[in-house]
Amino acid sequence: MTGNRDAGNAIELALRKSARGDNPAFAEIVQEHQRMVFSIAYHFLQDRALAEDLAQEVFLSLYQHLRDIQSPEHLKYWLRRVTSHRCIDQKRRRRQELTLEEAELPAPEANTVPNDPMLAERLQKSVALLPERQRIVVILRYQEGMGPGEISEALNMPVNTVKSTLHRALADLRKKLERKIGEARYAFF
Amino acid sequence: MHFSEDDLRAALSHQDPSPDFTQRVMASIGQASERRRKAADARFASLVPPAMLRWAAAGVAACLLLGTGWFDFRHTEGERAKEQAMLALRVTNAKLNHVFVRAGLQHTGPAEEENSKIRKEHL
Repeated sequence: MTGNRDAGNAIELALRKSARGDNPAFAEIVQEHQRMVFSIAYHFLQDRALAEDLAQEVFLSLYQHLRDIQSPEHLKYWLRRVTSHRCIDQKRRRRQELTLEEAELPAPEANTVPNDPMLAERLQKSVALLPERQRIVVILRYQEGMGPGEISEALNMPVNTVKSTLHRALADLRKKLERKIGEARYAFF
Repeated sequence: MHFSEDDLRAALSHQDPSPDFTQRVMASIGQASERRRKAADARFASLVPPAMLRWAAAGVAACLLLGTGWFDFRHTEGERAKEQAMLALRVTNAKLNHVFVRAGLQHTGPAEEENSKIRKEHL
């Protein structure tokens, strides 16, 4: 708790310093939030290089808007919001559908234990195949632990739409995973 | 296949970017600032061409010199006029004293001293 408050104070100080043009203070902000920004981009794009480029653009944009950021909480909200929108924009611009071949997926096991690395990998790939809106909602919900209200603010979507999108996304994920298991079993026998 | 929300959280856990990510961000910020500064300079240069800037500077310098010279000239002229006016007053005073002496009237004030002073000046 105290650690969080200290970190918050350090970021607040870094924010004030960087708004006055202190670059080492801005580097501290980047270091503190790079995992979050990169992970949103990576889980959405499923490409490390693209995700790093996008995260870099987000921080560059933050540098230009530092004066608009009022607090460490606002900073976090701003980064999640801008990263999410940029991910969707990038996908729309490129229209480069992921070419994940289902055959490339490892053979599934009949019973899986929680936090199984294979299940995690399969889930990641299945999330990457979801439609853009569903994908970003799932990432913000399960990677960032944001509530439907926060997601609705970040994505400019009504809360009910967020809830229904999340519900559909989970149903789609289950269907995709079941289909993969069915195919793998069929191929096995 | 069944998965729980915890499985999804584990699958979507935070990942680290490359170790040099922060340095690359800071480098790109440095480049962007440099580009912006150059663009601003270019905009200013396009608004005021260098030749025009040089002429403007020369004009300002000439104005300053002329203004200072004119002020100095006016100041010296003023001092000279003041001295001439004082001399004219002294001469008038001496003449008046002389007239008063001739007319047999007594003149009050430092007339004699003034008279002798002017006479000395004229000699």
